[in-house]
Parts: sequence; C-alpha cells; structure tokens
Amino acid sequence: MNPDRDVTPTIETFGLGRRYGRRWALRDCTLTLPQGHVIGLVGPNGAGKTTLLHIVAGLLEPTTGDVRVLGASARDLRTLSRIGFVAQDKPLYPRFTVEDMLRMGGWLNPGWDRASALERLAGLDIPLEQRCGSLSGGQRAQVALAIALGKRPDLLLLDEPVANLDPLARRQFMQVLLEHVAATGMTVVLSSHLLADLERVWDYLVLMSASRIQLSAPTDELLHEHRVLTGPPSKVGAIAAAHAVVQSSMADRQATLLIRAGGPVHDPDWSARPASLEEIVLAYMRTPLAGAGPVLSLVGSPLRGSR
Amino acid sequence: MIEMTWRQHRAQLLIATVVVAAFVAYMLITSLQRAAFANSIGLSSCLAARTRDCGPLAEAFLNRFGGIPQFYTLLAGLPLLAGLFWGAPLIAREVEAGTYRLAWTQSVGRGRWLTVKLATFLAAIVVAATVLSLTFSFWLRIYSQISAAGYTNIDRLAPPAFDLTGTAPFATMLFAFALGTLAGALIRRTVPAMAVTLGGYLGVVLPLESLRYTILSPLTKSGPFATNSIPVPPGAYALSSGYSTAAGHPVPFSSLVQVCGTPQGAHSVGIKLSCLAAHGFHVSETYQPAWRYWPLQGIYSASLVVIAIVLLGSAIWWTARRVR
Repeated sequence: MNPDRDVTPTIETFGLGRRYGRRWALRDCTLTLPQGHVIGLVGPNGAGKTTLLHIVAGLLEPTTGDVRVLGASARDLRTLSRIGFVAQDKPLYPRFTVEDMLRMGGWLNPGWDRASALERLAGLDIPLEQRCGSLSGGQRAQVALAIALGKRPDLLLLDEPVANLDPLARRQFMQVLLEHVAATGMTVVLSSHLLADLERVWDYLVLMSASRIQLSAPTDELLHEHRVLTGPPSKVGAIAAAHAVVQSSMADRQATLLIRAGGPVHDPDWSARPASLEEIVLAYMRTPLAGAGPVLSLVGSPLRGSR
Repeated sequence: MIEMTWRQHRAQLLIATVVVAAFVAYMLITSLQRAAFANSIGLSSCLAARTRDCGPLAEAFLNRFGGIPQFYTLLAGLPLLAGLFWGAPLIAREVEAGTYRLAWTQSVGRGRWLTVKLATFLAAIVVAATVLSLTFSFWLRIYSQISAAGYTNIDRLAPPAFDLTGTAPFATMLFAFALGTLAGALIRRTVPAMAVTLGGYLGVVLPLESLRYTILSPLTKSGPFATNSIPVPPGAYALSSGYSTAAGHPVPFSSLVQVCGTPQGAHSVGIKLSCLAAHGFHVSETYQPAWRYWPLQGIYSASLVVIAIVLLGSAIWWTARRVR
C-alpha cells in the first residue's frame, strides 16, 4: 500500500466534545488530518490532548460529535488493529517480562511483527527476561513503543511520548520512531506540552488550548503565512483590515504584530520578518480562539506585557 | 487471548488450586477416619443390614466425632473469595494501573478481551465448585446414612451442608464472582470494589439463606404431648417448634405455664407432661422434608445464577461501551 495515494484522512472529527460532569475536556473539535505526516498535537497541560487521543484510540466515547479514524469508526475492531497507541505513562504489566510483553503482542494482534520488535529491543540492549516493573523510564518507553510498532499500525498515537524521559532516552526514542516512519510512511500523531520536544520532528501542527483546537496546518504553510511586523502603533488598524492579527504588543512608540498574512505587506513603515514556529505557537496559545472561525481582531485593545 | 488470560491470571488460579486442594485433602482424610471408625465398631454394616437397632453404635460414632465441625461454616464462605480475588480486580486493576489503555488498544478489542477472561474464570468456578461439592458430599455420606436411619438430624438439607453440596457452591461462587466483576467495572478501584463485593454478597446471601427454607411452605407435624418434642422424619430440616390447642390453634408457651404450671420454689415453675396431655395441648414441628433437598437447591441456585447473569451482562455492557 502506498500511503501517498491514500487520500482518506487519517483522522476526521466533527464537533467532537467530551464532558466530565460539568467540565468540558474537549469542545467543538472539528479536524481533518491527512495521512503520511508526523503530526504534532501541542498545547498546555489540560488542553484536551489526552482526551482527543483517547477518543481516537477508541478508549473514550465522545459526549458530542463524531470521529472517523482511517475512514472508519474508532470503535471498529479493524480500526483498532490498524492503530498503535502509547499512553502517557507507558503502561506495561509490571510482573510480565519483556519477553512476555512481546508474546502478548503476538497473542492479541494477528499482524504481529515479532522479528522487528526483537531487533529493535536488541539494538537498545533491553534484556528480554527482565520484568517490566524494574525497567528504567527510557526502557519502558522503548518496550511500549516496540509493542505499538509491532502491530504494524497505519496510524501511531503517542501521548506525551518523551515527557518523562531524560535527554538521552528522548533522543533514542525519537530516533527509533523516525527510523520506523522513514521506512514505512506511517502517520504519527504525537502530543506534547513542550514545543522543544517535537519541533524537529513534526511537519504538521495541531494546536490546542482551553479544550479547543486553535490551529491545524502543515508547518511549512504556517511558516509561510505568519510574519512578525514592527511599525507605528497608529497604523495597526490598516494592517488589521488586510490581515489576521494573531497577537499584538505595544512598547513605547513601536507596535509588534504577529499576523497571518492575507497577502504581501507593502507599507514601508512596517518591517516584516518570518515568524518562528515557537513564536506562532506561543501567540496562538496566548490568544484563545485566535485561529478558530472568523479572524479575531485585537487591535482595539492592545495586549500589554508581551515580551 | 486465552494465553494472555492464563499469563495474567495464572497466579490467582494456582493459588485457588492450592486452597481447594488443601480443603479437599483435609476432607478426604477426616472422611476416611470417620469411615474407618464406623467400620471398626460395626456401624456401617449395621446400617446396611437394617435388621437391628443401630442406636448405640450411632451414638458412639457421634460421641467420638460430633457433628459437622464449625470449620465447615468457614468453608461455606469460600465462594466469597472468588468475588474478592477473581472478580473485583479483573477490570479494576487494569483501570487502576492504567494498563487498560494497553490492553484495550490491541487488535482483539475489549469485548473479546473480557469475554475470554470471564469464560476462563467461569470454567475455573465450575471445576472448583464441582470438586468441593462432590468431596463434601463424600465426607457427609456416613452422616447421611445415620440420618436416614433416624439417629441424627445432621444431613445435607441443613446449613452448612446445604451450602457445600449440590449446586449451591457453584451458584454462590458464580454470584460472588459476577458481583466482584461488576463492582470492579463500575468503581474502577480494587480495594473499594472488594469492600462492595463483601457487603453485597452478605447482603444477598444471608437473607436468601433463611428465605430458601420458606420459599416452599414448610410442612407441619403435630401430636399430643407424649414427649416434649416431636420427631421429624429422617433427613428433614426442622425449622421451628410450637404449641397448639387440640383444635389446632397455636398457643404461646406462657399459656401452657398458666394452665399446667406448678411452682417449684421461688423462681421456677414445673410443667407436667401428663397435665398438658390431659388438657389436649399439642406440640408441633415445622420442617422441610428430605425429598425437598433438590427442589430447594434448584430454587436457591437458580435465583443466584440469574442474578449473576444479570450482573455479568451489565459488566460486559458497561466495559464494552462506557468505561471512563
């Protein structure tokens, strides 16, 4: 199967929401994510990333809306056999040995690829006879990843995969993951509350905050569209009329704007430079709902204190 | 999935095997001791021949061994362990440890995951209950023979024997397991689920234990005061005794004292049997006859099994559709 030719969205959601009691963990989530990307799901803690991933993995029933995963229901058994999921704390059975965990993969998955899982763990010097309860954090993560990859999934979901790992384990984890992605063209969705974790990995960004999707686009498109402008505060209104101002800050006699450009900026009073991914993400996180629906104008009430 | 179930639960199943085997060994040894003694004093051959009075031999046997030891009342609580240690952790431990996110995202799906586990424990329950029931029936055999000849009332209809024979061990074990499984699925924490299982089990089984002897209305046997009680048929389970007038109206014991009491000293009253007989008072005994053993076992077991099926169905439904 050539993933480049498969145009079925990897994940499609329509008005997805999940409520716990009175609190909405996820609201109005409408997304279409293409196949063949490494998708970063970024947002602060409590933004709804885990809720969204659990719904996609079929672990959680949405309160509202609908979700299609690889073109089918998330609760469909065929969908379940096509996705790999690694939960945030890398759950393994503490009394199982690593070998038992690999056997489990074979018992529970018809398409289990034992040889490559063994090879991957051997390359990391993880002894098969060791009990999972006594593995280090990095080893746990690797075993959990090996089980998820051993299913040979078309879609891999990783919830905060490197959040609790030391830098070396982090690099090793990402290396194993990216080798596999390069070899298979599998779609990956990984969530993180830290931009730096994933910055060099993803090529598609979904930004969440306050239980909502703020932004969803390929990174190159984001970098292409967003610009940082500096210029006179008196002319902020003219910019806002032509472009979407995501964030603005005023310092002395100078306004700094981060815009999603509707076209080129011609006014010579403004100096423009490309925005970095980090600037874009921070700007959208600070201004909830900036990316959703119609353009939100912040011109009337300049934000203070932005550094 | 069956390999997974075995790998995950083999410790629980092996411990249960050891516990059941220990009880079985103990029952077999004590049963053989009793049989050897009954043979040596000629009780067994006497009961088999049915030609002479075996009363003294039966008395010798009962003096030597007594009835069913208290210990067997504990054994009647064994099914509860299936609820506490098999049922309650089954789903709760997975949720508590977060491993449900691993187990339920594999290709088999959580429906089959749970069904196979339930089927495995169901098979274990059938085996354990059958072994316990048959072994205890074997242990009780000599008492049943003495009871059939009318020398004792220790038999399978009375507790704790009723709980340890027939289909009752299976039914109580299945009920406890189902209750534990559902409690674990709903509460999602092992220890609270165990506490609810304990409370729920006692809350259902204790009332049922008295209800099961009255669901088929007990028989009554009454007669004039020849002795101070009236013997029930062999193997029957006596529920209560009472007094009545000749016309059959029940009367309390105080009426007997009023009519026939003669003061003996300052604080005690004597009643003459001859006086009671002369006034036409009757003594009565309500009981379940021996032949109702299987109907009562059937009703008791069926009601527990029906409850268990509902509980297990709810646990499957809840787990498959709703969890968290």
